[in-house]
Amino acid sequence: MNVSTPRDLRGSRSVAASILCAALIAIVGSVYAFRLGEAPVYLGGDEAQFGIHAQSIAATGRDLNGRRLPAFINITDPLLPSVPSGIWYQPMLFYLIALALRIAPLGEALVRSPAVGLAIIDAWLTFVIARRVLKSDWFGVLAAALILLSPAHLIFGRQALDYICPLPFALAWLWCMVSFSETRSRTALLGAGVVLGVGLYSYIASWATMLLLLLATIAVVARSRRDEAALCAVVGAAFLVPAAWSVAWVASHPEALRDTIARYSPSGASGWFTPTAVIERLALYWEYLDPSYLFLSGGSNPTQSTGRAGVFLLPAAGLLLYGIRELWRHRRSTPAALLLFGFFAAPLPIVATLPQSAHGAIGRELTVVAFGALVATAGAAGLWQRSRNGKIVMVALVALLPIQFVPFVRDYFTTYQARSAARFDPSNIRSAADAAVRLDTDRRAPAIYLSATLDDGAVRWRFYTKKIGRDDVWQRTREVRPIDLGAATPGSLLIASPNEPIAARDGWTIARTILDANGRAASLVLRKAR
Amino acid sequence: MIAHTQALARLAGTLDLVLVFVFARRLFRDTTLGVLAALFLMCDPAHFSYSRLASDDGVWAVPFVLGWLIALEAYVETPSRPAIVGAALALGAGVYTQPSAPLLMLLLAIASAVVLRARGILNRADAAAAAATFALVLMPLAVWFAWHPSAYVDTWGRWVLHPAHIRNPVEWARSVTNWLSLSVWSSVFWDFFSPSHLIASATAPAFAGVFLVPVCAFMAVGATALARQTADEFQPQRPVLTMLTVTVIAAAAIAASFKEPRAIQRALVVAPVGCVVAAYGASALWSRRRTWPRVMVALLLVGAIVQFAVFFSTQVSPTR
Repeated sequence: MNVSTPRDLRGSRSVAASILCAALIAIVGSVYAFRLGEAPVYLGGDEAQFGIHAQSIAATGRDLNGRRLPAFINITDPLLPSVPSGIWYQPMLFYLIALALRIAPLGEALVRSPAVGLAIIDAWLTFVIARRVLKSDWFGVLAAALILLSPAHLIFGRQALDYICPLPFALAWLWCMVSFSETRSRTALLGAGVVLGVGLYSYIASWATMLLLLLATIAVVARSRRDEAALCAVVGAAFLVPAAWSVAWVASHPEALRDTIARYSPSGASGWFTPTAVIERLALYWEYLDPSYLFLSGGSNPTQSTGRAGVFLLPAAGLLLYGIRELWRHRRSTPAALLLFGFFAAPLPIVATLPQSAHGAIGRELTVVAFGALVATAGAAGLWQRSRNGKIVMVALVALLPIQFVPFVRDYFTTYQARSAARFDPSNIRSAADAAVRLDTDRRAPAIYLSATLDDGAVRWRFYTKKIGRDDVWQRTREVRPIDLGAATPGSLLIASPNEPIAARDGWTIARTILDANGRAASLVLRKAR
Repeated sequence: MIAHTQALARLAGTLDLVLVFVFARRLFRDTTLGVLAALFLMCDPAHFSYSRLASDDGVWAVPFVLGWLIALEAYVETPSRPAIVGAALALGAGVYTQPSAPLLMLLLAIASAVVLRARGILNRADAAAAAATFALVLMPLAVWFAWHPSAYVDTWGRWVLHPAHIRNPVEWARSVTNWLSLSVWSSVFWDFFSPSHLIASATAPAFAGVFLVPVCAFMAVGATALARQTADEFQPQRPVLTMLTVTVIAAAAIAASFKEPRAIQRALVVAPVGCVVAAYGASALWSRRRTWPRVMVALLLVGAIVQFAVFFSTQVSPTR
């Protein structure tokens, strides 16, 4: 893009920089993969959904609802599969986990491993884009470091959730567009279209994100004022080919589209263009640029942020601000314009649809991390080129990154796990499943009841019975409301919340009390004595 | 008592209109712009509301800040001892107005000195005179606190600096730089500038924010035009324009330090500053001498009148 390419850092490909980048990815990547099954401390409800559907796809080619190679997966209670939930997830992560299941058996670390892989691909793509745009291997390394050291990227790079899935597609698109801006290659444009089309299946917000990036692609093509129509046709066709699968699939499963539209249509009576709706959306957009959210707290959801580090590390704030300034100065260059667009457009899908918990939801705008890392790298390059003082500031800010990252990681692997445990799984179903299966092994239970009040209890229960290979336990599992427990067969087991008034009546006695990571009672395993 | 305070608030609000007229007229050398700035301030929802309210924080500091700006502009134009002393006097007196004022006035005094010194306008003798004036005006307060030390804890102790932090500055530094505290403060600060606070509020009568929506459009044009001014065009007024920016940021930052979101009553000085910039924006748009910008100015002015009329009717309604 010719954005602040530092002359003293230009030159031929540096072997040292490439080795450094590989070493950086290996070292920080090992942090991403470290104790993957234990941190996050428990499997989240959605993580369990991804795991059990992927396991089913890997084993049978069908999801748990019986749909063969689905383009969208209907998220239901596995104990009540016939009750539709109206929630449909994008398929990509399910298939990635299903592929991983070809290599290793089901487990927390296994279902989370594709996210680690995607995080590493992000780092590599960021490296090659920054290297190409800034014509410097060293700034490529810095870009990879910035994305890998982003707290939000680390947190989502260790969860079996599809929030991280759009990032490689957004980055690959950017690489294609940078290539197109330099060479006007139709192949690059074709690649951009295909990447965006495939990216549609990565995460629900990608339907908006990829369309926004497609619009940006068309704007770039139109601005080039040469063969616009033909080039637009190329990119449009390339986009539509992968998208056609969803069209064909939805044609035979119209409920998927109907439910998704109903779920993401503007909430309440505010509509889209009423003054209240416009004001609400402007305010929400403004919130997503809040420095406190971006650099200090990282969002409101404890499963998506430690609350003690922002989406980016604090020293990145200086680089990011300067990067915005630099890119704005060079906004006529295609890469600069696309980087700014990507950064500022990231919250637009949330702002447009106003989903539940729309505030501080970094997962839903995770592409901001990828574009932000590249914008910050452009800022670093600009500072380096500016003056001697600029160099000092840039080096100081970059040196501060690991100084904040180390305590962040220490907190992440220690106290954060206890702080967030109740949000990942308030009932500690993993330990409850271990205890119940052991009790069942000691004395076979005629039925195993799961209290309907447990948060995603059935999903996690299915996951753990699959993990330990006890399908027979699953076959005997029933979901139950406490009021219906009177008719249970003696010897049956029940998993319930500790605050449910069950033990005192109907002959249920506590067999095990399950503690959470903080030593508090998370759930109870009870057995019916008579 | 409340009626008296309300009357005083109206007096202060009216005085603001006169002062903003004087300031804008002096700054832009244009009487029309002065009138326009005063009209915008008159129709400003936040300023209008607090000019009718008997509240602790509100319109009280605004006349003093405007007085300081007028004196500052006069000093920048023709450096003279009376002008800088007048500026210091206004800031010093402003300290007595409301809880958020002491920090604001102190910050503005320091920022004025830094900006004027950096521009080579403020000489040492004038700086000393201004500092002495500022200190002199604060003397009664110092004497009063000496006589009534217990009052400090519940006043300046809460608003400016707690006695425990005076005794232990390390603890003060720790509390100021505490991660959670910084996070809350920066969030409240950022939220102060939210479009749903400054431009339009979904819950307010006539969707009125701190400013009327059309005035915000003028402000955007004005801010862009002022930022694009060539160096020579506004060279003499540059320090004043810098101080306008500092005033807005400092007012919002100090309001945020109270950790109460969207506390415009603690930062009402942003209203006259915004109106001055908006007046310049309207003028910049009008001076393009083409049809559509002038149509735009006319439409925005009509829009401002309509929005204010609806807002006004809800404020003076007998059912309120």
